[in-house]
Amino acid sequence: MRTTLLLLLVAFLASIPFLGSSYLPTFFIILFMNLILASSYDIVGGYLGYVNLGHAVFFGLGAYTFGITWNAQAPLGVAFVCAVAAAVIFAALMAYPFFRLHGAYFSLGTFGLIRLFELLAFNFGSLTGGSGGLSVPSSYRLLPTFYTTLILALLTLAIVYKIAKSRLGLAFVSIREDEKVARDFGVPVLRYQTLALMLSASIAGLMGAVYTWYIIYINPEAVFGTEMALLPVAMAMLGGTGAIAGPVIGAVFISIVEEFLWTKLPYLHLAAYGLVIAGVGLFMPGGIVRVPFIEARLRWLGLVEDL
Amino acid sequence: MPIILEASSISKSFRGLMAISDVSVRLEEGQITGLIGPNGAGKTTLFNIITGGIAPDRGTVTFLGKELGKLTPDRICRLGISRTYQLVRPFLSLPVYRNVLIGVYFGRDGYISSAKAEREVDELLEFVGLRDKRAARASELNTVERKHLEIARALATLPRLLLLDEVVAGLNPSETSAVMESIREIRRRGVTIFLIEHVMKVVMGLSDHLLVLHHGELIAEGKPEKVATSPAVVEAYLGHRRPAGAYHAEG
Repeated sequence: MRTTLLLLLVAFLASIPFLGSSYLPTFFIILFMNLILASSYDIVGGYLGYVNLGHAVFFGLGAYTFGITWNAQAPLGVAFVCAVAAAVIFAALMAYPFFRLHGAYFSLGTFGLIRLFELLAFNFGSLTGGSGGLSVPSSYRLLPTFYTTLILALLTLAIVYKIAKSRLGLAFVSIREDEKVARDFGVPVLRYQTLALMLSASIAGLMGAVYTWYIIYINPEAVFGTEMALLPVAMAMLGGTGAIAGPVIGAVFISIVEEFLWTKLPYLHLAAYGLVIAGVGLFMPGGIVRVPFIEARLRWLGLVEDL
Repeated sequence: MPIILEASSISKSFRGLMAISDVSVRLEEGQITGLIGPNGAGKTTLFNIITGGIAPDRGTVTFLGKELGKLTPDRICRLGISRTYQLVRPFLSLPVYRNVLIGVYFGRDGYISSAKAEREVDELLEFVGLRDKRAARASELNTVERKHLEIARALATLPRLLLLDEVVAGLNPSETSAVMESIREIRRRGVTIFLIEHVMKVVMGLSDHLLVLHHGELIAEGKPEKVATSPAVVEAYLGHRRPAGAYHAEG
């Protein structure tokens, strides 16, 4: 029953480009991207319990690395691999110093990274094109991107689901609950923190590469800007962190609201968007998935795992 | 009996305040060793040093012939030392069985299959009487149940040495005797026990050997009956006995 529902949903999503509108695939690419970023953020934010405001650093590193290597005549596949490698290697390097910080200090520190990378991208003009941005060769990519992001979204959810069910996920949540106790009971904390960050980074880095490939032009603000940094965190928190359905619901909700507001309220959309988030925060603490009525239904579908 | 753990000349100060001063402890395998002392005597600090959470300023800890040195707490746990906390610290938002599962998966050396792990968790929950609370979140348990959960989680790591930090504090008499019986059973299964306790009935009833810490120094050790009545210990707990008539003379 559940499997049937899931397959039907996937079949529906896969058939969207054939519904005759060219607007729908564009919208769903953004939605899938939001979902991928929110879910990959949640590995660290929801399971490990560290609010990483620097998640966009991995996305941006992937985006730039892909653009630079592809422009340097690297084959497409190699450019994608380089993008993921850059994000993962950076995650491994930042793990040791940053996981010495806890709570708000970790968040502030990682938020600082965003600004650092934005400045680096601005100033390493010879590599990144500076404020002028970076372009890659264009061709028709709407449908290939649609299916790539759809597959990557499903893959991300499968990975997060697998983690949540495995002993790896148990190690992550034990660290979230009480790091010292986890260590006293045999969990090598830093190793699992590093692993969580690298997993999270690999997905975001790949998404960054796909983004550059699709959008063909990036600049420092687009990939390292404040909005890019806050969006995954806001979506995950809105939907509910540490539950597989949470970031998905948050991403769908925000993508729709943003699209709707952007068309209906071109001038006020950012303010209205803030109001929506504040309202959900006030009336649905713990996120949309923790509203009892919704939680019961998601539990039946097996989408709010037993932590 | 062979010595399972030996702490030699341990000293530790916090910002100039001496918490432990030149303390040496030897725990015999298979015994229950009690550790008493007034509040602030350094008992929990000694536990934290043994489990690797705090590095001593001076001195060494040797467990099963291996010097623990700079080993991290997770390594020390996998070598066979486990503990409970004075103020219970279960993983609150996790279900009870997942709390114990963490000990089974990560607290031991070697790999264990999920099916076997789940079976062992159920046995441990049965042992501490939490079988029917298996799926409840730890935050839904009361204090007594949380203490039992901590014992189950500690046993899940298959310890050779178990450190119990005031495990009966806050329990009523019947709950206390139940826990005492569990502790005896754990020892019968071959686990050496080192326990901090304020309730004298429990310490005297369980311990084969008793240590007394006061102001970070070991002031007495030996058979429980002897130690508890030694003048130094009585003084540490009750203060100095003045000569008869002293109040009158001073007044």
